[in-house]
Amino acid sequence: MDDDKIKDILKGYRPELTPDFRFMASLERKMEAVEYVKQEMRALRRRNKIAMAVATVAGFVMGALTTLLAPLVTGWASTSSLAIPSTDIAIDLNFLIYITAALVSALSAYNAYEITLARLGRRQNL
Amino acid sequence: MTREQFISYVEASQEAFRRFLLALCCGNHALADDIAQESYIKAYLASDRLTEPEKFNSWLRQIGYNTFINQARALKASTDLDAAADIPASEITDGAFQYEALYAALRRMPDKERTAVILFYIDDYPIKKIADIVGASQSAVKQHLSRGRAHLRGLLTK
Repeated sequence: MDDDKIKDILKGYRPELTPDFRFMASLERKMEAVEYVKQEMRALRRRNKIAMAVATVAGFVMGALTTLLAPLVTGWASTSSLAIPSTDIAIDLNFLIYITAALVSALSAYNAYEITLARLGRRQNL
Repeated sequence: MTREQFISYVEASQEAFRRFLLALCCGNHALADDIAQESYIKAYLASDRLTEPEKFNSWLRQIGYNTFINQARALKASTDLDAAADIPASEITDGAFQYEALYAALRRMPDKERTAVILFYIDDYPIKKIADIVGASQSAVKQHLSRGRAHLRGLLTK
């Protein structure tokens, strides 16, 4: 068989395909599903962004409040019966304040993030 | 690219693209249609990255070729592609027999030679575009084409 014959066979290759309308209908259904998933992903990203912003603000505010209120609390504690008894172990009060502020800040941010996400999710489902 | 624009591209390209995949899958209609659908979905998801719409067809063939290679690998792991090609496609009662000898010959060719022959002779693509599609050098494509032609000649003469 020569090259021309092979070319003719390949150039004349026109096989019957499954009906176009069926192919297109199936493809459009899949594209709709993809579109739905894309929309959901966009909404999820948006919700996450809002929740992160709320968490940052909440964490900052609570951290700042704790730091500002710390001298009042320590002052009150030192004059009341809650005063730390003298021990051999030296306790750095400032260090305790910063640790407490960081913990309060982190916990507030986490809670704010979870609550915002849950509320936004519920609102979207309604 | 909007969804409507993409659908208009699909409508314009789907027949030739499915024909290319059908030859690549050696007449397995179900596999060719599956790969076509998967390729279009991949193209749709990546359509924002297509900067030159006039290159849609060759870009689509590149996606189709890669999807075919991945599917072929997965199929080889579970079953043999040759055996899969023998599964009768319902509803296609055509002309499938008309191309049986061609499909049988294509089935016996390596994927790279088969792709080069199909793209060059059936789709009329130049060597440079074929090289872009399969991700090989132009000299490699010329070699695949020459070997593929010789293989095909031998197989169809038998």
